[in-house]
Amino acid sequence: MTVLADSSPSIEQRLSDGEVAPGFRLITLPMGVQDVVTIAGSFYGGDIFSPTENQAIADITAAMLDKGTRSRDKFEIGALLEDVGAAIRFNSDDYRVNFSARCLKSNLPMVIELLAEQLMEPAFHKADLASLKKRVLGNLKRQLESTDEQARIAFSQLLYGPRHPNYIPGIESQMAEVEALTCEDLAAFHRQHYGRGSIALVATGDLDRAELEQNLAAQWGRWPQVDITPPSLDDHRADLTTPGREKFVTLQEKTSVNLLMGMAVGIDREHPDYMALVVATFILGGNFSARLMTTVRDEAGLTYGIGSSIGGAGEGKDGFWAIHGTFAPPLLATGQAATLEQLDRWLGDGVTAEELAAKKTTITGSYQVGLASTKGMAGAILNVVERGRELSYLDTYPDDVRALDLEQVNGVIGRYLDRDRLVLVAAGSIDEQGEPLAPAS
Amino acid sequence: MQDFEQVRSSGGITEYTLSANGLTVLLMEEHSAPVATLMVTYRVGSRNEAIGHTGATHLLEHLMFKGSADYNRDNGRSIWTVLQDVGAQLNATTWLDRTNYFEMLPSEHLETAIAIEADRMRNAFIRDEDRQSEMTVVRNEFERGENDPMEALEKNLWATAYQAHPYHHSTIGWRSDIEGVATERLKAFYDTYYCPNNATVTVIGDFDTGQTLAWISSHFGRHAASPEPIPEVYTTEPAQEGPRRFIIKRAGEAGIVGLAHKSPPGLDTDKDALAVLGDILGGGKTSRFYRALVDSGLATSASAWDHPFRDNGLFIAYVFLTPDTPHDKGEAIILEIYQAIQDEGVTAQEVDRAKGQVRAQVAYSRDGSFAVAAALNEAIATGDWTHYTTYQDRITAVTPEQVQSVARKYLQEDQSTTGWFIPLSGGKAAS
Repeated sequence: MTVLADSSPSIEQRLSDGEVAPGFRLITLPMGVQDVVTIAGSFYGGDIFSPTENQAIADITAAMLDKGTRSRDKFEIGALLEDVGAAIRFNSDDYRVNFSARCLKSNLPMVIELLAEQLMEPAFHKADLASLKKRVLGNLKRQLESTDEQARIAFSQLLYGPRHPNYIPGIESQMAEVEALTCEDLAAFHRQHYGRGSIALVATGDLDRAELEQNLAAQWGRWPQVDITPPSLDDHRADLTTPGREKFVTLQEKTSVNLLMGMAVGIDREHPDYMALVVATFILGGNFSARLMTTVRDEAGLTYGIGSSIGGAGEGKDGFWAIHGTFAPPLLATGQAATLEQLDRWLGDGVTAEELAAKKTTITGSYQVGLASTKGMAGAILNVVERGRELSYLDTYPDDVRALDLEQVNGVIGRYLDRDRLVLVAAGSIDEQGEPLAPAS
Repeated sequence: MQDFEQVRSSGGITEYTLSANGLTVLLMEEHSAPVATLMVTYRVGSRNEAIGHTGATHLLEHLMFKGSADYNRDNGRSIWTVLQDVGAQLNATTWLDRTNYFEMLPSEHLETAIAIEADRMRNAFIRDEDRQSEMTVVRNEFERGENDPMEALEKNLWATAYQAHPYHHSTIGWRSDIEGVATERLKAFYDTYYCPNNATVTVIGDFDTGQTLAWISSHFGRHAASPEPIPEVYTTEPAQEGPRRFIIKRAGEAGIVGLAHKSPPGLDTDKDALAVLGDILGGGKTSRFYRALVDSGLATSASAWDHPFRDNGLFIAYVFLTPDTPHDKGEAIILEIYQAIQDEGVTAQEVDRAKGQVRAQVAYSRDGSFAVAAALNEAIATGDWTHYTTYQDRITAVTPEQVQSVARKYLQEDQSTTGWFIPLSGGKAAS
């Protein structure tokens, strides 16, 4: 069974896959849309490779890639791209430097040339770093007043230690690290971590693979080979015996509180139980017709949004399970109680066969819908590549979802989740007991 | 097909009218993926509200998910369950001039989505007990918005710039109106505006035109046109006779400047030059705002956009200041840039760049069925869906002289509203 009609070739059959240079994998998929090409790619060089004394280096190095190269300044590059409505974006996540681009077919050679130039020869000018620092510090300062960000930080710090990639440092600490960076730091990090080795580039849309391959080989063959692998997390995994805790973060004059509750689960997304845990969690709070939205929002009217999900489980990381919702400060206690009631029911009784059947079709159907655009398809392919799976997984993923049975799904709930380990965090205009602050006079 | 009158075609999209009740239908087949998007756009938004029931259009939008005669929780076929169980991505949005409901789903389920939208067009329950529980949901949506300084600033910009016209209030409405509006009022609103002759059904993607028209006729054709004409909004905004200013002081960490100028209705011929002006000011690294405000480290971001609404608009510039940048400096730089364009005009290169971006955006909007439907939705709201399909040709015709002319005509101090968000220290207390 594939996501396409039975008479259509599978995604794997329509894909072309191969190395254009050692350590540089190119996957292409022509799609029906006219003139549009989407690129998504990544390589190792993300936050986990930052030195422990300054964990901002990977992020800021990636953020400097579009600030000019040794041969062109940022405005020249901006003009070339913006004249034709093209865009190239970079960012760094826990493990990888990610890049993406979108352009018209006729502009693809130029975009590939600029992408290569920006990745290989960033200028790291002092003035650009000084300007970027001001903006990054400004954005970080805004996060000091974000109920969402403050809840996420507190939650991550209760679940993980500082050396774990899922741990989010406090804003003040992040600001100090950004302030301390120099261009020399960034250039050295770039030299040591950027290069061929783990790079994958996915292109989807109206494209000619042979032409693209030729362009890529001409540009990227000269990039040095850099073989780096992520450090082991074995000494830093979350402690699954730590009892549950609560933390309330106070922010002034906020009309809505962000509530997070959850726990580390000790497995990553390649674990055989992972998909069953995802589906069980989806039944609890994956969409509007899941239990939490049906009861806490639709029936009780306590929140605009509440859901549950598994996060931080990529690249071998031991991930976490969480419920996230928002409540007016005076409704936080009621909302929290209503949420815990649903959680206890789910933990105690599991899910039903009807719920499992319904959510299986939800997940497989929305997967099909997500593949309908070049961006959705490129993202799905890159995800499979980064996970180290065969490309046939793009076709067989729905089969794996359909194959789950009730015993598996209910089994993982008890195996990985323990009510006594539940961590609860709320951030907003509440005091340290979670009671609403008096309104500002 | 005999139930429909074919009205016109533009940009690969064909318009039909369902003869029985005046329902407008827009169709564009595109078979690159087995997915279709259905969107129903009602030509009613927060511009149709008044004091006491601001936010009613949006609250009603929420109640439209609470059940209708054929699709409800009691019969085990709630809208969310039926559609999400087949993998549909669905939701609804409300804005000043329109309310839209949409489903992006595997195309074999298109008829189900059509049946649901047709049923709730005239058979939605709109019960008082549902309003009561949904009111607090919407109030939390309001509260979440109020957490964001930018949203607070934007609400005040519109409320200060427009005093008589209903664009004065935001789509979410005032808190007390969200809490106090009666169910009877929502029902009356529903009966007045949720009619086939006030709606457009758009289908984009993998479907067969003949079959889809037959489904639309079968499901929507059972509703009669509204017995009375759809009420017109007759309030016009009195002339503004001088600049307006306001300040919001609230716990926070960083300042924002918003500078708005009155601009014309969405179908006005000056709108295209204003769109190009917005791009020259705020579109990308080559833009004037980026060079003067962002690259210099004075702002974390800066934007400019002319809102293309049905009755009037606002050309708004926002500058998110970095911590050491005073508000008056950010504001002065915007005004200097405006003055330079009014005095010296813009370059042909800047205009060509904006045109290049529009050319690409039009191609990108054909990438997936939802993007076309979403763009059509906004064009329908301004009063003419072909405003989307003719956009590229219109932008291509814009000259540098026209851009300078609209800058002179609309960016006048007496037509301006300026707002500052000033953060008060101590936004985050010790935890």
